[in-house]
Amino acid sequence: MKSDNRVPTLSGKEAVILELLLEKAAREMYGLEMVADSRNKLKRGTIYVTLDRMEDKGYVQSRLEEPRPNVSGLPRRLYRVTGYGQKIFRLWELARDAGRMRTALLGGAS
Amino acid sequence: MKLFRRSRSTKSPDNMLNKALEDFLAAPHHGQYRLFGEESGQVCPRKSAARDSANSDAEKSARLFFLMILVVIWALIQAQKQPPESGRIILPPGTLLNYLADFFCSPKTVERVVSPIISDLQTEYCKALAEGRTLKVFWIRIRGYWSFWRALGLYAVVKNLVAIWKISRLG
Repeated sequence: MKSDNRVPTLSGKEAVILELLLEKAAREMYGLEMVADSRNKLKRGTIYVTLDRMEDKGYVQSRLEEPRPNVSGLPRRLYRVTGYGQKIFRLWELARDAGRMRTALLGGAS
Repeated sequence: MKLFRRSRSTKSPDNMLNKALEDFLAAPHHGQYRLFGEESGQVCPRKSAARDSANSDAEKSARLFFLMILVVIWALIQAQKQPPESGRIILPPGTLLNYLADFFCSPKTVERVVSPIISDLQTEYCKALAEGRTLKVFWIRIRGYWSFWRALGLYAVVKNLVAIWKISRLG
């Protein structure tokens, strides 16, 4: 949990990642899997920078994969959403829905 | 009409200039002096310099292009190579990049940004190699290296922007 009093923020890419992680909350995902499931919303070159930022904010946590037998190379990093990340995403969804509703009521006028 | 010009380094009193003139007349191809139009008629020195610079740029571009072609050919040859009979990969792709990142980046960056990218590259590479898709192997290498440089560039930019923002906030 963040100790400072700043308002938590959630960018578009962060929201996509949290959405993907919450869709499959029962298991962890690795970066390439998220890129494949995101329908071109996430890119290979940028996802780990975003995940690193989210980890700093406390939205996700990660761990290294257990070494697999007969598989060499670097272990993959698995990510899962934290409770704080879930709350932030729910709030973000509420804010988004409220914004849409307001737009619909005002007929698109800001 | 001036017949020659002096380089800046030879700025000196009149007596030194006179001596230099004598030297010049005695040896017209002295290194410090250059005749206008000596080589190719009355050529403006600025235009000549510009033409030389343009030629030099063109040569550099041609060399770079040639180098790129060589790299692509080398990568294609590497992709066409069969794995050793033991089935083991001697040097997985991204190993050198990992060493490079270890040297230049912080441990946190390596752990959270670089290693996952290289891990993805190696996973995809092994999968494509097992399927015998050599062109895909080649493409995965290129894409993996591009992701690496892009992520590091982005990381550096974001880090610097945050630092600037913090400084501006304090100020």
